[in-house]
Amino acid sequence: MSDPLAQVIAAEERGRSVLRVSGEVDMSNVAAVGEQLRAAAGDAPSVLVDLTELGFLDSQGLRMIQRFADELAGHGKKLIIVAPASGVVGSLLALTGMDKNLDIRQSPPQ
Amino acid sequence: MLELFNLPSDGTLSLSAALTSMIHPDDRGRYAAAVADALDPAGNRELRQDIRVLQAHGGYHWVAVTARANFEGDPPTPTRLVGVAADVTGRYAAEARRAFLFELSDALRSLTDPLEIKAHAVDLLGRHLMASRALYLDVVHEPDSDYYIAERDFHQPAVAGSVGRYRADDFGATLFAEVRAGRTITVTDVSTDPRLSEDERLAYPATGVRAFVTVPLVKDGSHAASLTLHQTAPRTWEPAEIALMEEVAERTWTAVERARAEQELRESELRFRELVEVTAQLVWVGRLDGSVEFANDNWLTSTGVEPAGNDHRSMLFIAAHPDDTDRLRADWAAAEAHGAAFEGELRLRQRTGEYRWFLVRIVPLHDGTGSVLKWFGVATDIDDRRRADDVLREQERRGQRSRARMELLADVIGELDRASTVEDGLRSLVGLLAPGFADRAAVTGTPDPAGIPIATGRDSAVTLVVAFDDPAGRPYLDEDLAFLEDLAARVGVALTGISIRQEEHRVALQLQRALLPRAIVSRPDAAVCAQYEAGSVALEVGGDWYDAFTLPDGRIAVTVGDVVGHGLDAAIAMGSLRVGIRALAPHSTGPGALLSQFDRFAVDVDGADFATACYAVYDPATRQLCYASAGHPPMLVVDAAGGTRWLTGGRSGPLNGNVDTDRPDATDTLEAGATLVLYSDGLIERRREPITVGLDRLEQAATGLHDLPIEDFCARLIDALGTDHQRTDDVVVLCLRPPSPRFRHELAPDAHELRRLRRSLTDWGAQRHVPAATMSRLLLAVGEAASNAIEHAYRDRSPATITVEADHEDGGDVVVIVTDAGSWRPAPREPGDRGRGTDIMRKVSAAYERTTTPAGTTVKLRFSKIGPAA
Repeated sequence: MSDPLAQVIAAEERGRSVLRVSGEVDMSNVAAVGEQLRAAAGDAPSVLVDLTELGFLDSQGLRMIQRFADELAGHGKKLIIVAPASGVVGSLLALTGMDKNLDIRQSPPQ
Repeated sequence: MLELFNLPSDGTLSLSAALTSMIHPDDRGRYAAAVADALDPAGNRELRQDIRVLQAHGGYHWVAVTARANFEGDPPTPTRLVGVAADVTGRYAAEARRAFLFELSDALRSLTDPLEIKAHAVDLLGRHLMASRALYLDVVHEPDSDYYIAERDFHQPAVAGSVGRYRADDFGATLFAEVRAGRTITVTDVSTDPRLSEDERLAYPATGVRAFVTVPLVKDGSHAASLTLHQTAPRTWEPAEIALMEEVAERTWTAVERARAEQELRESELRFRELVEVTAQLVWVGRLDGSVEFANDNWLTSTGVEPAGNDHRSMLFIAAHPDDTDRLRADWAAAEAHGAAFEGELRLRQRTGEYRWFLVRIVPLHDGTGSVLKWFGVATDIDDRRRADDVLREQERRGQRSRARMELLADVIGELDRASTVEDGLRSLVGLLAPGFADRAAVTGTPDPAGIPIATGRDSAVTLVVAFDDPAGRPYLDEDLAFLEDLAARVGVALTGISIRQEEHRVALQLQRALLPRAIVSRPDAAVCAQYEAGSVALEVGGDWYDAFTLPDGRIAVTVGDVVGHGLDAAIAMGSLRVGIRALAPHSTGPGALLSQFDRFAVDVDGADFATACYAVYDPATRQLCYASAGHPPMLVVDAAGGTRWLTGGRSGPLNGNVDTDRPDATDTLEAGATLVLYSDGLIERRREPITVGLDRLEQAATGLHDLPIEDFCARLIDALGTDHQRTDDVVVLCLRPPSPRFRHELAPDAHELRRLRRSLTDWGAQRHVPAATMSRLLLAVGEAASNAIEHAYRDRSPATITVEADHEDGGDVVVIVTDAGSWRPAPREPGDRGRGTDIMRKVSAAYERTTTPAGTTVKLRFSKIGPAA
């Protein structure tokens, strides 16, 4: 897409797959972003999804993240989400109660 | 026998010869008479005489002569005198010694002068032992040598005296080592004595000394004196003679020392009495039983308290100042209990009735065992010193007080400079005076003879009353009064000044308020808000004006101007100009033309010699702005995103009496949500700061506040640009903001349309100054509603349009309505996810409402400034 609404940048840091999502995620790109995350996560036993730079996320995006977390858990993998509580995504996760069953951090673990 | 008489053994010497040459001259007559008696046939014909007979060594022996005369014939003629002679020197010596010592003791006892004692002793001894010289030498120890001092001596008439001072080392080192060791030296003949050197053997005869005895007196390990006998001929010193000399030496020493001690005592007593009587001090001696042993004349002369018959303690208490007696009694009791010295400064009443300060010392005199014998009291007049000290202390106190008061005065005047009302000034004054000067201070409106009047205006005054908690500790002095009067005068001047300025300010402010528009009312098609701040009364009333009014053609005119000057005149001129603009505006062809006409008008207004003004006309229909400025700082536009621009066109010079008939104007277009800012220079000007700094500050503040509602923006701009202290002028800010239209957006049921919807909503929110937090909730909820509509549309294959509308309601809530043409049905596959979108909408909005009809579904979302309902 010439003007992608969201970008996923993957990296591997200390044996962990780190996925940084920026831009916006809505109904139009949620499936594609979900695929990108699955692909980028690879076989790493631990995955960190950093949503600090994500400017918009709706309920469909939340569903995608929940599914992704469930899949990783099914494979015995661990998911860490970084989303500051003061940010758009962090406050949405808190609002919907998803912070209760996901491992959400205020900043990337050192 | 013959040798007794020292006669030649050949018997050739006749008796007469013997009499003349051998017998001691004192005995010759007596012996001759006795012999004559013995030879008298009528007598008892016996001779019994003790006579002194010259011996070969030069001395005399006592010889007892017992003889019987033989007579022959008739008349009987003495033929022979037959007898015996026995040497009885020993017996005589013992008796003589006893007699001599009695005589010496008697003589010395009656003498009190050490010199006399010494003289008498050597005289008696010299005669007794028939020495050529007798000397008592005092020894003086000097660094180079000991010296012998003979003050008096005994000497035979034919022998030279020896009073003088002698260097000990000149008399032979060997012998004098003995002397120093306390051993008596006996020299029979200096010319043959082996202990003397050759020089010494020659030296002694030169002084007429052939034989001598020196008895040293060594006291406390030191050679103190010597008793010396000289003989001009060789002499063998008898042990008895030497023993006598040693005895005499010892007795003389004792007598001399006693006399000296007595003399010293007498002298010291004398000195004491003399001292005590000539001294300025009061001196007394108290006995242990309390009686006064002695008090000098000064005591009575000074205090008038009779010592005789008095107790020495009560004598002091009677004279002491009543305020000092308690202290004196306590200190004295402590001293007496410990046998220690008492010392204290106290006032003693004088005969004249006045009190003078004395330093009183009472010292115990102890006996050998440490018991107190007497009390020795001395009182020294220290009144002058005390007074001098008091004066110095007082001067020092005054100096400190004076400095403190200068500072206090400076503080008061400084506070009054800052005070803007008489009440503030008086509050500062009272706050500084207590505790700075007194313990309490107050001002009262009612006159008080005990207070100090202070002018508070041309015809008004208050009374200042100060009080001290402890008048004894802090007396109210003349200088206090002088200070207060000086203070009152200065404060009065300052307060009167404040009062006059205050009155002027009050009138000017009232006038200005009367002259300015009562209220600026916004119109539906343009929000207008003005803020005028004379602020605190500390600010001068200036000549700022502002106005906003509707022109006959429906356009809105806004203006801000500033008459240079302050106070009443400026306020009146300002009022005239504002009314002038209102009157001229409907008839002018444009802002530039209006200012030209206004120029002419201003010429005739008193006090409006120099003014600046800006004027703009806004057309709500076109959002067109036409503006002009006469020397006024440029208007500012802040757009919905916070971007700024200065309206620098339409500029001409200030209104200064020179009519400018050709003032230009310029145009601009205000975007939806933009804010036009007019202001007076008080907003941006600060002392010692270039005007550009103030303009930059305004630009930054406007950007920072741009998303606030217009009333808040206007008020906060004044706050943000400086406090009262930084501002010296009054301030006017006038803002105009065109309303932005309600939001309306139509989108196809395509998920990719969602992002454009969000962009449009964001822009509209900025124009409407919707806070960022509200906006992000709004975007989320509207996104959910729109997503549902799209999903529904996909499912039902009905290509209907989705409409999103948003607007502010009265009261500030934003209401968004999302409408589609279909109906939402719960998705059977994923009930949880459908529920999640609804849940979000409920939670982020203040109210969520869904209405489904056969025609379609409508979702209504409400967002308040305060926050979501949840």
